[in-house]
Amino acid sequence: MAASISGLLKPWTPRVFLVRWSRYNPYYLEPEVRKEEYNRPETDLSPEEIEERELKIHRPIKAAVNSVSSSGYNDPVISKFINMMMKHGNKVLAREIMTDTLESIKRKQVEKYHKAPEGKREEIECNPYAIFHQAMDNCKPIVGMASIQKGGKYYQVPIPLSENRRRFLAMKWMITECRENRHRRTHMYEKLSQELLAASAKEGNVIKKKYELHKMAEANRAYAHFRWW
Amino acid sequence: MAGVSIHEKVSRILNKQNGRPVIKPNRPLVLLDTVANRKPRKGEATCVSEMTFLMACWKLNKFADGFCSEETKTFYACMEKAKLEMKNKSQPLHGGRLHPKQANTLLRRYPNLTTEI
Repeated sequence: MAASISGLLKPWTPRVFLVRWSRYNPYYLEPEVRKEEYNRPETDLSPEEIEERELKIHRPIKAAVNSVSSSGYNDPVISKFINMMMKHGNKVLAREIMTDTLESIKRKQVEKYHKAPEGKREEIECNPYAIFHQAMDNCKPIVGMASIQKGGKYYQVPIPLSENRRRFLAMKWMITECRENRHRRTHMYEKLSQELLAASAKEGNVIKKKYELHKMAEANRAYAHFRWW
Repeated sequence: MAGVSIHEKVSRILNKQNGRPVIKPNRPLVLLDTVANRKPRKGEATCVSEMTFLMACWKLNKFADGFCSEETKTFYACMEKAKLEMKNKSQPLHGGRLHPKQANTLLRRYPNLTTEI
């Protein structure tokens, strides 16, 4: 946020730009849809946040995009997952698959809960959202690989990954795994719920894929200093 | 005065003296208004030792999760630090020298005087 504010201090002149994504000039601020942000008292804000709040009084603010909302059910990770699963802009279908997946996870977990003996019931997590987040966290790789040219040869070099890249890899692996290794008679949501449950218990093919990446990084650890960032 | 003496010296070297000239320049003896565009030295890899520790830990534990939380934590902390440093160091100086591009713009703005005013 600070970077964008420092960018705003420069005088802005209209110039030639792409039409589609540049409706707002840089004086417009990003929208904040979370209610908790507005309910925080002024005492526990940092000086930058206070400054930002004061900017918001007189600066215009962009309209929030369609996919975010202040609803308690809005989850950025799940929304990202839906968007990555979407094909040809068919979001209705992608969202339906996601809700079916969560429902199916819930059903399986509740069944397990009722079958379990009295003492062990507390251990079983029945919240499908928690399971989804746990699974996504377990799938995230810690180091990645990049192809770097050195002396006319390309080397596979282990690199640290950004948070965005880690999230992307976890989601991509999960989705491709479910698309490609699905039996033709099972639905996408069934396969997805199986994989998510497996991943939340640190099992399954996606976790295996993550370990493979880690093993490859470990095998190429001698090239780690070829990186320049 | 110094400029004049240098010109004299140059003309003496270029002229035929004792049979043949001392130097035969194939370009005019004038400094160019550009410098060669060299790539700046690339930076060092960050967090290599932390990464090595993490990998050693993985190998020890057969790549299973949950054993190397300490190493992972230090690795992430190092990454954060490196990222902040990269951000702060927005204009790197290449050993106290100007970047060739900056030097070229400056030289173009103030070109070498080759003719007498």
